[in-house]
Amino acid sequence: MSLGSYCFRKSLWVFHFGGASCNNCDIEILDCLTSRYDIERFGMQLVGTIRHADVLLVSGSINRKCRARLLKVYNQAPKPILVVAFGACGCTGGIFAEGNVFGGPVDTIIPVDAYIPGCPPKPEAILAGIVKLLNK
Amino acid sequence: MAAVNYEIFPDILKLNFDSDILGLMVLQRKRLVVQIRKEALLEIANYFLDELKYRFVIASGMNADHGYDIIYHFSDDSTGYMVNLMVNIDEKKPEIESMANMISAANWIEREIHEILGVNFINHPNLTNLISGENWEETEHPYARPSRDNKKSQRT
Amino acid sequence: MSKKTVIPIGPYHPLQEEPELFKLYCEGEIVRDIEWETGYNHRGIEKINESKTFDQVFFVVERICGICSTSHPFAYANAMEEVGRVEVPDRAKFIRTIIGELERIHSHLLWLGLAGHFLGYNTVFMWAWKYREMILDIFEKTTGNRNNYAMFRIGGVRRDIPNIHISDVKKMLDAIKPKLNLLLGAVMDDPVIHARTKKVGILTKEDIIDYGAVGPTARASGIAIDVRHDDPYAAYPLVDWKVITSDGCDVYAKTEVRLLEMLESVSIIDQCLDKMSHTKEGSIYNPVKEIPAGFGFGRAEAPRGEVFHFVKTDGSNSPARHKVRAPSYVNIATFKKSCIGQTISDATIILAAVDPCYCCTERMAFAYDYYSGKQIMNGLDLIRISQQKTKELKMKM
Repeated sequence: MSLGSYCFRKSLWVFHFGGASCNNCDIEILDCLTSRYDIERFGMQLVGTIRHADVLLVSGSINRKCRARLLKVYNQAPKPILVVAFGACGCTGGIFAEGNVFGGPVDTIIPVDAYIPGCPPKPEAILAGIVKLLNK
Repeated sequence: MAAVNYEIFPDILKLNFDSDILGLMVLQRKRLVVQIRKEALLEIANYFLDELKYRFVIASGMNADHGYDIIYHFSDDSTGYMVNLMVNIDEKKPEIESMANMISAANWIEREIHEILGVNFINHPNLTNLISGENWEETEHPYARPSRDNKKSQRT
Repeated sequence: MSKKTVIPIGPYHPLQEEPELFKLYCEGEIVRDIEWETGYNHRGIEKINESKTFDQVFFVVERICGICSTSHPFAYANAMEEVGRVEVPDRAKFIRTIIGELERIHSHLLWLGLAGHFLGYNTVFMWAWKYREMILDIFEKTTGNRNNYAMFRIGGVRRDIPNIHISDVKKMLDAIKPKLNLLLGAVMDDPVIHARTKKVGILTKEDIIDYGAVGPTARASGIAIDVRHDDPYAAYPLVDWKVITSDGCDVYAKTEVRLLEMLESVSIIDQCLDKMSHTKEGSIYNPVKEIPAGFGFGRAEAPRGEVFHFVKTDGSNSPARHKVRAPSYVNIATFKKSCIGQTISDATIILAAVDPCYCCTERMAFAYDYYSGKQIMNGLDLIRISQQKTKELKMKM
């Protein structure tokens, strides 16, 4: 068993980094936590600091100002860490990629393990994405 | 608040501030654009805010044929009437008196216009970065385009 | 001089140009001053719009804020219809109003849940969000999407709500009414919520006027401004409803206004559905050939207050200048008045009370010691202090 699969065998704790996002992805992530989708039954939980997390969830396009902060957060993370680019903006920059302050898609800044596309992805898509990531 | 008859409102304005008004445009039943001299901005804005109890909505800065235009939007919430004061600012000396000391709502937007167009607001209490931060350099003004006059002079 | 502590709250905050880092300057427990830094969420939307055609702009403004993804297209449509002097068919007006009001309910429920979470009532959080799903189901039924509905176009709407769907939507709406009443009772009769929110974060009428605050923030201070009433648009003049105000000026009054507004919204949607069934199916937009040069001033009442869009056109097929003012832009500035003199444990709920979007307090809040620069508290701690206070109050009662 490799170190990676050993680390991610049990409950995943997720840290959510919102770049310059429009909020929709953030809401759908929170939606996953509440009663209908209840992601906590899989042991997943949002945590307040990256130092406790197994997964770094990045939503929203990244502008120049938060680019440096994203790198900082990634460097603070305990390795190994799974990075998930969330939503159309997280994957490619989406509609804001042509803006004058766009700092680059997430995968040009930090290595990304999984992409969950959609604007915003439905909670079901989030669950499916995480399951796929775990079975990788 | 004095009830104002909006049919004759443009005429009343002309009566009060005749020399300061450069142009009047009635767009719709409830929309009025008034082009004014920039030196008279505070006086006219004060008339709307204090005497007529209008609400300051926001200001928009934009490029114009000569320099920049700033439109100050005011709203009368009892009738839904909007008055928009438009001032033109010279490109070579982009300066205008700040409204932030009169009404706090103007504080942020003046900082923003300062960043995107490079217009200088005189007597602003705190004319620092609002949105640019590390997004663009302080000397850079992403929304400002050189006007037609300037382009011509560059070409020749 | 006593030691001052700086508590930064932020920086990520997902509205248009208003994600910010708040620095609370504290003396002991009391907040003495507040400062902010923004720019973390600046996406240059106004600049992007200048390179889009009028129809494409709808999809960009929809993504200014995910929660207000109807209000921005609404205001933009109002502005464009003003420039082009376009008439909107009645059926489209009703559909617009229905979508706008559904959005208000879902946004207020979202806010209520988060406010409950900050106070230490996770039950309110779970329940409010559970009932919010019912609204999202109606959205899915009528527009096909849970968020970002893409319903608007210049001159009307893109999709019809067929008459056969009206009774289904009504049934779903009827199921929500008792749940809203339940939440209303649960929040209004709770002595602990009263103790936590009454006389906290006071904003006087003068403050509201000075800062130009709008929406529930202003209405909770007794100022009856509501664009739906003052500058009527869409189907609001065609239905019966009233502007909800309160004279409390505090956090409780803002909660009360929002809760009552939700019930009002349900009644508006009900009436719209009734009246819509008498209009001709399928006539949902008037074609627009071209937009002349001119100015357009569009306003719409978002759940958080007035959204203002200013469009300058030059006769081409894209805006020459597009200025967007979201309601939080003016509402957030009122923190300077409402936070000062309050305790840190109340700061969280005061900041949340204007509904500035929750992420700033939820995600990356750190407290630094002013002198050593050492981190002493993070966002969860702030929420924890707030929840602790509720617990202590409960014990006392």
